[in-house]
Amino acid sequence: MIDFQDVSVLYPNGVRALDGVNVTVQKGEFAFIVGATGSGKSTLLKLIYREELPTQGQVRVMGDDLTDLHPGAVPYLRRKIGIVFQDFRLLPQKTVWENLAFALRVIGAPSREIVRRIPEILDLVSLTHRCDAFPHQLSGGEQQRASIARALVNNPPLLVADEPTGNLDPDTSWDIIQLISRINIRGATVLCATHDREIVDKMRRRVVVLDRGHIIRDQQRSSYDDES
Amino acid sequence: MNPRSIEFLIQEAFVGVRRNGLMAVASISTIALSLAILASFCLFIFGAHRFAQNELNKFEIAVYIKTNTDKTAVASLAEQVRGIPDVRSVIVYPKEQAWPEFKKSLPHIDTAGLNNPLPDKLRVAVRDQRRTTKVADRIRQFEEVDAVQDGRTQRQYVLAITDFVKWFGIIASFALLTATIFIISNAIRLTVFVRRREIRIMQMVGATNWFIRIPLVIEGVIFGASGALIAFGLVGIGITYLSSVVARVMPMMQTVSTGVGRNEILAALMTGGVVIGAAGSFVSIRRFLKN
Repeated sequence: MIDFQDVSVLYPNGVRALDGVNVTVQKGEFAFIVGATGSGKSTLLKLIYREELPTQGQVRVMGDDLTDLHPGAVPYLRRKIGIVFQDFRLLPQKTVWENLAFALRVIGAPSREIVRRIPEILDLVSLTHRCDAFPHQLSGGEQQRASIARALVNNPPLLVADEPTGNLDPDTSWDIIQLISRINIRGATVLCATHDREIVDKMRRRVVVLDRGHIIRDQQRSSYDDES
Repeated sequence: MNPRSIEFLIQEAFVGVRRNGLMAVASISTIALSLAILASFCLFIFGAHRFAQNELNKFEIAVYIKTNTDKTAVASLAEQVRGIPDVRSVIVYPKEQAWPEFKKSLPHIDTAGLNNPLPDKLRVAVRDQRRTTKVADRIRQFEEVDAVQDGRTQRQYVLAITDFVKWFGIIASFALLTATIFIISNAIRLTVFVRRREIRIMQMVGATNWFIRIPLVIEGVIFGASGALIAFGLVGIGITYLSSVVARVMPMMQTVSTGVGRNEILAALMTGGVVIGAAGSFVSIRRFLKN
């Protein structure tokens, strides 16, 4: 599903965000990317949805070599990836329903399909009752659920979450991670960057630890800190 | 792109205008005011140029014919003058017609017992006032001609004013047009700039550049067209008010018009508003669409 080979990213300001990273994520996996602020977690995720390009190495996502991908093909890559951000990034002038509908309109879905699909997803994220609300009328947890719903609405095989619980209280964070876990069980590959120790420890999933651009640990069914 | 998507994108544009109400009001009023100022200035220049041109066209060459010339020779001379290139019209003004008019215009002069001393006259209008002197010189060469008055000094004075109005108008209108384009595209750019975050989000959910661009360009067109309509209203009110003031204060200027009809003003404003609105949006969005 995802394959990084000797990937380095050097920003124009001289910061080396990633340095010779090699990592592979199989279809259906759930992996946490952990590490301190500035360790390169967000850069690694941005490479997956082609927000950044590597200065060295090769990034392959669902069979596409992203270093070679034509800019015109980027939107089509992103339609296969659901992206969830710490700051939710919902369209502020659109209701929850319209935010979801927009993601479906983008792929040319007919109205019939939109009317069928959105209630299903809103039900999955328990947000049916808030479908007419604008983002600023929602709580943080509700906004994040709306953002996850949008990421899932067109059934992408890959979900990328960048600090999805970063702005949420512990209870809501746990709900959100449970929701993402259910999505993984339904078949989507999930890559989740976080520095929420409690969640990583409770989930016992694959953990990839980054430190100053290097992968220093990659363990299955692991916790935030090294157990060996 | 299928018709369903196109319908959605048009709807998106109208929803965008409605939900960004304050920004829309700011943009539309900026566009309306700049277009109204530009249009008023252009109309003023058109009016001034047309007025000067009308004054210029009133100039005629007066050709006085020797008193011993018979009527057949006068008619033949008129015909020959008519044949000179650049001559628009020749009117024969016979002395029999001129004499009673002269007496009527100067009633205090005692003309009793006097024989008609006036000569026959030709009134020659020229197509291009810049050629008047040449035409007059040519007429002077006819044997039957006694004197020619071509109003050289006054004509050159009015000609200089006409030229000044024309060139000043062209240069100032161009400068004002440039400023208007700049102001309008800045207003549009601002509406796109406040939505740069939205553009980024749309890119993240896989929207193609055209999918993002079309509603925003349509919004630019809506802003431009609405601004143009308001500008048309403002210019219309201005013209009506000015006409009533002119009719009251300077009745002799009442016949002066810009020569530009309301439909033409509306068409020009709409074209300007729509083109600048669409182009302004298109260019502004391009900055934010780079992957």
